Amino acid sequence: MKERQIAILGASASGKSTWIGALASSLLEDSAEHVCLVDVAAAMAPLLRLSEPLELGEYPKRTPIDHQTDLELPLATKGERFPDARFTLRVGDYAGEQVERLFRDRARGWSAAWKTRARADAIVLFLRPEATTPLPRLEPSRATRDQWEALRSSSPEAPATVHLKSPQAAGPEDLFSDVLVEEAADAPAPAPGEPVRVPTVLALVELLQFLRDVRGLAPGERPPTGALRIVLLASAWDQVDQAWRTNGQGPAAFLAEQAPLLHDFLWSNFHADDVFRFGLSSTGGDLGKLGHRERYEEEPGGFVEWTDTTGHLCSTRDLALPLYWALFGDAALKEG
Amino acid sequence: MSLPPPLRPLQCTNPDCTLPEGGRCARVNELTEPERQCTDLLRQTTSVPEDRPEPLPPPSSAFSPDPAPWSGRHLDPVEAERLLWRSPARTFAVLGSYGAGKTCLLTSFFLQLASAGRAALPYRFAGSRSLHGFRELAERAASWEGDPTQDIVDHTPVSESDRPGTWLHVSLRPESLHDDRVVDMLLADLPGEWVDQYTGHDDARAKRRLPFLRRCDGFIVLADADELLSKKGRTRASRTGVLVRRLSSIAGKRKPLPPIAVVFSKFDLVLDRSEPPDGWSIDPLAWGPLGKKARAILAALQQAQDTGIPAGAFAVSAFPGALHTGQPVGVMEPFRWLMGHVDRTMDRRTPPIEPSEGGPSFQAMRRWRPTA
Repeated sequence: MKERQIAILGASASGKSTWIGALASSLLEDSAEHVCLVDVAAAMAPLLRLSEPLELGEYPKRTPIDHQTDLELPLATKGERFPDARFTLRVGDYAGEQVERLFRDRARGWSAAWKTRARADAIVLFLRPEATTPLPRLEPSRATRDQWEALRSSSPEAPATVHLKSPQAAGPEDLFSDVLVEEAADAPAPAPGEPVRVPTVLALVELLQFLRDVRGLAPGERPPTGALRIVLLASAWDQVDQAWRTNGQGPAAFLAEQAPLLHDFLWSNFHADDVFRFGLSSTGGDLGKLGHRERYEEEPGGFVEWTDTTGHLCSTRDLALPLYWALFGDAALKEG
Repeated sequence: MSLPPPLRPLQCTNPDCTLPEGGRCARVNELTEPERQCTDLLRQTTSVPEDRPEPLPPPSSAFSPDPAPWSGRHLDPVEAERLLWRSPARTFAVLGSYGAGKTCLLTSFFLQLASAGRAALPYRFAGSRSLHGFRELAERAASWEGDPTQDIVDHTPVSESDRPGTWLHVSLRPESLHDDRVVDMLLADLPGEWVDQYTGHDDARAKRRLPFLRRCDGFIVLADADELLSKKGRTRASRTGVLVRRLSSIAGKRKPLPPIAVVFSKFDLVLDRSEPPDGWSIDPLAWGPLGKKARAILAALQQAQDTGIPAGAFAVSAFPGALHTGQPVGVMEPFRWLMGHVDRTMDRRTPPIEPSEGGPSFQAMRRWRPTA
């Protein structure tokens, strides 16, 4: 049986440590329904580092660890729900300056580890909306007389719909930074003289281009169905406006609106069947809030939401669902 | 006799330079021989004591010597040429005098494409080899506070290099599900000084710099609407008209005939004096006072159209204000119009049969190049 690889990529403070920590708790208790650890010893130390804070109602804290290795979790499916499959979850662990150099300076840093990661069977991308630096948004529309009229009558002070950057900006160097970071920590607001950061989505698209290039894929060339699945996770999903968490909306619509360039890039370069968007709340709410923390200590858990083909918003408490989808595609979403 | 110290590796203090790793000098536009001329580039000359081994590079992937797969900045002609041989490519030259707004137009175009501009252009973003270049332009534009005396983006620098990086690139996939092409769009962003020299003097040097004009699939010529309505407007119009005529002469030798779009840029500055037509028009009457001043340009376009060359003129405002105060108007129109013409006249791809699985060789076979 071929062992599959799933690469987990995401910015610091994008939610990946909390997810792995929450997943680890259920793996260590063997309470996950359809997945189990294969080699407990190999992954024990990092798993405990991630899961223990959550068991105390806190987010995993940054811990100095070997910066050069990935966190690798050897896992397997269990039970009757899914076919037998062994797979390794690789979580990228990179020092910030490396990615900064790779994206901004391009001089070095395109390491063998990146090239290995490019060969993964699936990539799980974390995006925490409030921790991203957006591109300036311009309203694409055809020129009409009304638009010219509006421009003629507009005063320079009148604010339009463009937004430049989030108050919680994260740069590209954070995209693949340490796993063990303080997830809930607010990114500091940029100082007046601070340069505009690289829009997160540009860095993500560039990295996906690099990964595709390693696989020999030309721009716009869609890999054979199932050869490379992309899971987009909108983390801290409990924090998004409730209007997105309704039938007809959901994570897919939310991410398309928040990151249109990435949305178009994925549409152009992958089969629709190979890309899926989930909303993920690993802890079901903000552990920084006392009320929720007490609830979480009593009954830990989070949820995953997605929209089905009819636009209906679905939900599960099984945080491993994105992994099942990465392995089995839409079959993972069918009722067991 | 002692041997000279061993040659030490190059180092550069400019963080944008990749020359020591076999890449490009960050000041390639200014220096013809960076290794000799660049003061940022140093070769460490301190001798290494023989008994002390040179420190090994950190054994970490964090300092992997491999550079990123591509620079991501403006493409040089060789890099652009490579893309021409990959799938159907469209090369468009964006021309205009210094300060006409060429780079602003391209920046605004990219930002709208990145904002899913399908309503205005029926293509979706599929990739870019110059994403870093676009990022720099967007970053610069985002920091502009709306002061009309300040530059919105940096002017394209004049380069003496044999291989100036002047091309921006996007890959596009048509929105239509029946059209499985991936189209590479190459946009030449040339310094205004070169264009002025090309327009005014028919000397070999100016011509030599722009050999690719003969291979372009379309042209966008910018003229500053505010300047056209000023005192020296007729002079500017005459020069731009000459440029259009020169391009018509080049276009006339191509099959299919490449379209020429004139963009009246910075139109927000003249809205109190001139009315834009609905859509595009090359009729001077449709442009009001601007039509009178720009008669030489519109006449050149009319003449091009009479010879069968598609010709149009568009009103555009790429950055009517700081990005947080105003939206652009009309930016996508000339691109849509050019792409529409080129798509109609160049060979269309037969809708492919999707391979069920595997098939990288089949995929490779499907990459094709049109017979232009």
